[in-house]
Amino acid sequence: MENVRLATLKKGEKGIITAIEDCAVKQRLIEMGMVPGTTFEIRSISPFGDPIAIRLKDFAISLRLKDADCIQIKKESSTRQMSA
Amino acid sequence: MKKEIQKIALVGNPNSGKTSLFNRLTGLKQKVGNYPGVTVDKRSGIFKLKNDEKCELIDLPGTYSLSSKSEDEKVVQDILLDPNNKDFPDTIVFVADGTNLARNLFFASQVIELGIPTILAINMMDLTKQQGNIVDIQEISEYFNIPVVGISARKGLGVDELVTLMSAPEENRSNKIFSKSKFDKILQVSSEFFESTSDYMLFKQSCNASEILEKEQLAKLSASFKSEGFDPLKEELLEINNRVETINKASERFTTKASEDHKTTTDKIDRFVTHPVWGLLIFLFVFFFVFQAIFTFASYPMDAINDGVVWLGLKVSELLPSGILADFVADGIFAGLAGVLVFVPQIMILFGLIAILEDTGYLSRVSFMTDGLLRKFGMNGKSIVPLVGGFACAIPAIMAARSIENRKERFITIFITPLMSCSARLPVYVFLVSFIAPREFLFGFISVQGLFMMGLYVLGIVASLIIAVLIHKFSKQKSDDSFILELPDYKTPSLKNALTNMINKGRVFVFQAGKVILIASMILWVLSYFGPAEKMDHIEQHYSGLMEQEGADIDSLSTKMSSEKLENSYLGIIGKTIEPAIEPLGYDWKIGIAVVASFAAREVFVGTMSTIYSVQGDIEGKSGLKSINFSYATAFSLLIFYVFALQCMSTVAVVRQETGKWSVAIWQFVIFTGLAYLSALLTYQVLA
Repeated sequence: MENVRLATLKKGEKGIITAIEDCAVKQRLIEMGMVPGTTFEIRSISPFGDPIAIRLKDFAISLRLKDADCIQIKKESSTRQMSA
Repeated sequence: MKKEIQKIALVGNPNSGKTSLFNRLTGLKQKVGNYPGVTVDKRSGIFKLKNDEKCELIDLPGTYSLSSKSEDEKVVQDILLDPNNKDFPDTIVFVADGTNLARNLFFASQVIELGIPTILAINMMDLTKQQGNIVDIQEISEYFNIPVVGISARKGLGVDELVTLMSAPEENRSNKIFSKSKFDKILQVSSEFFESTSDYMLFKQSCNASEILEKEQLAKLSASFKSEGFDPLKEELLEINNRVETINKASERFTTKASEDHKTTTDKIDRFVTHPVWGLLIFLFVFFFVFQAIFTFASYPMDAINDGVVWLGLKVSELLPSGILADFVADGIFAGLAGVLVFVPQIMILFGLIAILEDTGYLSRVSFMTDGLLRKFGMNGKSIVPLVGGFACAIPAIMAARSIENRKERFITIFITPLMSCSARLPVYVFLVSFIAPREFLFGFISVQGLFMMGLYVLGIVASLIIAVLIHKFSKQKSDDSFILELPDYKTPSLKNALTNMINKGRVFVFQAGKVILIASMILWVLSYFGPAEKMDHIEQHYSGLMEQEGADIDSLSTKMSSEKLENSYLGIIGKTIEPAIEPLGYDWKIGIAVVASFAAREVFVGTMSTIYSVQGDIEGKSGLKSINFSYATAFSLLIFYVFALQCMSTVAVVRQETGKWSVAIWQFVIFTGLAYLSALLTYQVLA
């Protein structure tokens, strides 16, 4: 597992949130349930490359790369299944 | 103090089905207004409880928490954190999406701890079942210690039970996640500044004091906070973090998953719908249909309304003694009324379709796909609906910009939408393009005139994007350029919702913007009807003399009389007065009159031209439109003028209504018309 930023992941990659850094949307991200320990998958990338759609346990959201950049994550190796 | 009528508020996350429940409970007995100072729809309605007592149901905007980032959220915060607010509810019905329990219960737990009697309605119980999940209502009720009911607002399941609970609200004795022990001192200080119904409300008021208190009070409180070492922002974030974790953990007990991944249907659809290639094609196809619907389907009811109201006006004026009053009723009031009502079909069709697209979950995907492009111009993905809608009609399109939360992005969207060539420009384009482009086809099927028309649409788009970039770069207002958007699961849309939305938007337009349009069209009528008395009397005498002669062609004489009167009316005088100003553009006073009259509505241009030219035409042995022969340069210059000019008082009225400021509407008018003038000037000078 590598420790990276969410914004660096590609379509279909999965991970676990490890921390939310200080940024404009920190509070909103937490309110939406994106606390450390949350698993997710990059579901799609929009035609213009930004924003990206990520799928969490019960819902999916669209994030601009700038906002996704303040989310620290651990990448899951591709063989492991996302725990639903 | 006892209030006259009980107030019940519906609170919940966006997409929780709150509005479906509201529509089901109130039907069409709802009112749509504005919250003071903001352009957020305030939906309320009267409805009868089990004991036959009436209550006012308020559908608060959907939000994610008690903190405020946008106007919508500010409204919710203002109401729920202020017991003295006139909309402060006696009872709250919190609507939570059962398929998305943890996140919804986070906000629910905040609202529950405000101390207001609260009923928790877990919505979409039909969907959770379909997805193979069992939601334990009993367990949730015990956890929070409040009444909980499972419902499906869409299908009406459990709604009756909910109404029973609403009819006999219990005092709020809920369990608390918030622990006040840490904040005893702070809360004591704050209690002198705020009125509150619970410790948690007081804590929230303290954290958001900067948005609630007046300057002086705030300075005092902040000083006390500082000496106590209380950092509101930090403490609120900690509280939220703790609450999310607590609720997430608890939520695991609330649902039993019977099947594995239930989200696969949505994921499968999204694979196509948000695909870089297929997704864009689907988007183009869907919006082509929406555009066609506003453009084409609306034309039948629009014609019917126009003809109907005008006919009614004639009938009413026939009942009056002929003369100025009858003319005023027919051409002033009823024609103005037709000018208002004629937009209603377009508004209703656009908002009906938007409601359906939104209900299905597709609209958020469109915003997701277009956000990257629109952001470059200072807007966001939600701007796409107003911009595309603007090609049909700027009025419903500008109203649709309400869904954009960010002030600056919404402002830019509203500002540039009128530059999208709307359907009212089309007849003018068709008429004028015929003077410029030959009726020929390239390769046998590409119409040259069609290409020209397309060029005009592109011109409008390019200009709008340039203006957007300019506002974006030079505006003092900062956009936080964050855009978080939920992509809800796909669902079958509810036709009832669509219908309610259509009727409400139609109503808002008629009663708000309608007034301004009616008054403006009456003023235009007065200008075109009256002129210097001496001249007008002379014309009337001259023609009545002619009409009395034997074998006189009454019809053609009266047409000539009205055009001669128009020429000598105040409107005609305006046309002649501005001639020196419009001459460099290649226009004479006749075009001047038509251009001025177009400010009532652009499509008036062709009609006015034919009236004015009826005099002239007779002399040359032709009549009406056929007698008009613009030079290439004049027609081109006129076309450019119509692409840019904001010749639509309905748009001006709607922009004022939606921004709450005359200044925005006036600036927009001045800038676009100025741009039109300069571009037309340049065009004519180059070509002539």
